[in-house]
Amino acid sequence: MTTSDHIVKAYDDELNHLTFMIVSMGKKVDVQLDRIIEALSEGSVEKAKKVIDHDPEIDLLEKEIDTYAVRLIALRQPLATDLRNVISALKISAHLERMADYVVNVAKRTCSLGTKPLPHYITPIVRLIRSVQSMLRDVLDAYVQRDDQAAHRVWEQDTEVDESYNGFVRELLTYMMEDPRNITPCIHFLFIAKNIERLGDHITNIAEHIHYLIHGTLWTESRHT
Amino acid sequence: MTKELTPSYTLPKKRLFRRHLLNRLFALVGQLAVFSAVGILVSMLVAIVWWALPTFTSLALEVTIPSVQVSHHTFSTSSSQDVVSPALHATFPILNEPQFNHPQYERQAERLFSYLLFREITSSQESAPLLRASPNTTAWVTASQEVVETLSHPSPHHVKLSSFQKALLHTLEDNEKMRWQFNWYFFTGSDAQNSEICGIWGALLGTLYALGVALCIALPIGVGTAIYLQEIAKDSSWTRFVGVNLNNLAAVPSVVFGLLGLALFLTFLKLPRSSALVGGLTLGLMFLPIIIVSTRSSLKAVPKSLRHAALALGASSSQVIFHQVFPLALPGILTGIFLGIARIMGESACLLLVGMMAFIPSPPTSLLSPTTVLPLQIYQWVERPEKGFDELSSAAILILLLLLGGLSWIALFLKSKFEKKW
Amino acid sequence: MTPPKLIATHLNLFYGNRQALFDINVSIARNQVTALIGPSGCGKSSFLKCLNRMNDPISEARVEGTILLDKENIYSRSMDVVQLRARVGMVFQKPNPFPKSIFDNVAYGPRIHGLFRSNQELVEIVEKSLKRAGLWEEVKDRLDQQGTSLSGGQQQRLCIARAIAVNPEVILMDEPCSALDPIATAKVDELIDELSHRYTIVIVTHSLQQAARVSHSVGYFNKGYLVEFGETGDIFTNPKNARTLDYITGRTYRRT
Ligand SMILES: Nc1ncnc2c1ncn2[C@@H]1O[C@H](COP(=O)(O)OP(=O)(O)OP(=O)(O)O)[C@@H](O)[C@H]1O
Ligand SMILES: [Mg+2]
Repeated sequence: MTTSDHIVKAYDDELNHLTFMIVSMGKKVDVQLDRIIEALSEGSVEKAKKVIDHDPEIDLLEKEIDTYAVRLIALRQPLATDLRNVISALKISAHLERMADYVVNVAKRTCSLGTKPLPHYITPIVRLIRSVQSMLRDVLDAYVQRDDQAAHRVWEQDTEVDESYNGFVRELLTYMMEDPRNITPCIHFLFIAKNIERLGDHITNIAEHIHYLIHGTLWTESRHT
Repeated sequence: MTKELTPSYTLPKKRLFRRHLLNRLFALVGQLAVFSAVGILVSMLVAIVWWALPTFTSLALEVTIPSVQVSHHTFSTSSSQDVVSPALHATFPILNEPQFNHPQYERQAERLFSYLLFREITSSQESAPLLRASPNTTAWVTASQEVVETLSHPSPHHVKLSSFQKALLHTLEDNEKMRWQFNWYFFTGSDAQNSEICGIWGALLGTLYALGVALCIALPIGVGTAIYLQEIAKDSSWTRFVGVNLNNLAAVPSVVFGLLGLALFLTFLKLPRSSALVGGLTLGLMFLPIIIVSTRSSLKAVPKSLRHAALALGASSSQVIFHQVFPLALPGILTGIFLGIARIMGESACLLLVGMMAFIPSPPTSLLSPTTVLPLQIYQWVERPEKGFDELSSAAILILLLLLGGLSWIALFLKSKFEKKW
Repeated sequence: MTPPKLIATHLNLFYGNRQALFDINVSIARNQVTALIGPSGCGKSSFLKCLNRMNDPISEARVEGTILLDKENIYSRSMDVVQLRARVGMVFQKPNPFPKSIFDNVAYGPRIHGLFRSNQELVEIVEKSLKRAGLWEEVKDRLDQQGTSLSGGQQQRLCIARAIAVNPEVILMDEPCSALDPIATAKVDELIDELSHRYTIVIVTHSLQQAARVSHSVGYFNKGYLVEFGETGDIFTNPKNARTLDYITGRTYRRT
């Protein structure tokens, strides 16, 4: 469905600004992911702390989006696509905020690890984060473009993330069974991986919101086919 | 692109000045026009009133009527001269003197009085049985126009009265047998040869009769037609054609209606000439389009929304008309009717043609008896050369103006009092 | 499911040789509020007037197709227009009270239809109607005052009272709140809601919010066509038709 402009230009500007705020929030989460990769692979507590320090920015942005959206609803009384637009923005921003929280959890685990982990832990987890990161970028693109197909593709990507998560869990289990001394780092990585996997779930939720935003109908396909 | 328009609070001084100047000039011209119009109107009114005033007073002279004379003569044999001559002799004893004992002097004395009236008075005395008891009786009799003129303009150039007549007047004046009184004749009399005993009563009655006939004919037909055309008839090219023609008819010169009346009522129906009936019917013809047009416009002024409101409640179209539209339009319709009456009341041209401009010395007794109407009476009087008729016509014009003004005032009153706001 | 109150089939309306409505097919549910929305001049009022034959007085108006009121074609010869209008009442966009007293305004309908046996009964009808229209408290001690002396909102409620005094089955409202303040509008909204339990209501409105608030179904008209008709919630969150979407979201008209 092509979108034509509103008769009131300022209304378009406001809706665009809302999208812009979501995207910049998503970018901030993206940057956090970059930072956490760096912190993890170096085992740097300092860098992990930096991730935690940046989190309030994202919280603040979410609150800004909330107030902005509520204001827009009150003043413009959006209907149909516009209404879905605003409501989706509210929901997406909530998801992004949750995602940022998960990244903070990962950062806290990194602090607890304290040392530079062995590469066989790092490589799969970084791969996992990278694929989540690409999902995030894709979903943001799909959101900006209002691209239903792209959102679907992102949604499908999540199965890959799930699979690599499951693979990594199995790997960790074997490490733990090999040597009980591995249990402490393995548990940390288990939680880290779990958090990253949750990120993927939130991204699929965002993809579902994009679908709702475009079609006005719920995502009917079942999550696990 | 031209440069952006910015709000400017400093308009160019010169332009502004010119604009204000123009405003003031325009107001000035308007005021001037109003003043001159009012001035013309007022001076016209003042002139008419000035001219008319003498008519409302008349000079009366006292006549002595010897009763002896009356008892000697029976009705059938008494000629007017038998009554007049002794009365003159009784009033002016000087006529008994030998050097004035000549019919010429008697005639001169007689001409001091309004000629017709003198006889009327004396003959009325004759029929009054009471009078026989007293030897002599007196009566106030209107003086002739010449006397009035001589008295009001006492200049040596006046040769209307002979010195003998002047002398007679002097004796009357000295004996206080001369007085100014209100001229009832103006209101109770009809047309006459002599201006001093002319009145508007006959013409007024004729006007009322004709108006009555016109109203009886034109009101029901006119209002009915208007309601039909405006409310009931479907808006088709035919009704529009009729409407346009009615509008034209209302503006047609009244002579045309006179011609129609002549052809229809006199030639075809053979109704009596110059009767109030024919005049009324002719006026009715003229009144009809006026009523239709004004009634239609009052009906049209009732907003559509009210009709729709009533219709949507399930009122039938006649209920809409008689419950909602007509009551609201009534003040407007009445206003139109009164203005229309004022218009046909002043109408003269169309009545000329049905023979209403005629010398009719007595008021109409029925719708079929010959009569005249006020405007035509005025027209006749203006035509006559004697000065008395000028004053008479002015007075009649004044009465006509008052009547018309009264009608317009009633119309205005109805409008302001009963017109509802919606 | 109760059968629909009004069903229009293949309804075409012409003003002279200009067509104002094109092949309208719609069923209007019984005891529900149906809102008609659409840009100015699209034929909403014209459609509304078709429903109680208020187009009849317009000489150049011509109607094709059928409208069934409880299975009876209102354009059939056997249909009595006076009877029809008593069953299908109408409230107009501009309040149009008669220049009579408030009482007489409300009593007019019952009077012409003879809906009462005693004067007492008429007084009761008037009181009940004014109460149902939410005007009673404001006018109860000045019923003999001119209807036109009321404020715009009161006049509109007076017109509603006048319409319901005849006890119609259907009430048509043509932009009843276009000149009212939010409070008066809310009162009318509440009234519509309340009336909808007993009456079938069709309302034309330019306020999408009002349509959303009061109606169960919405019909969107454009250029004489009924573009979309559906459940109110669906129309306002996810209309099927692109033109409906453009209209309700305030977008420039899209040429497709
Ligand atoms: N009496 C009439 N004669 C001729 N054309 C008419 C008449 N009434 C309406 N129309 C035409 O029919 C079309 C629809 O008019 P209608 O009054 O139904 O519009 P509407 O949707 O009610 O608009 P609005 O929202 O402005 O009231 C318009 O183009 C109008 O010009
Ligand atoms: Mg309309």
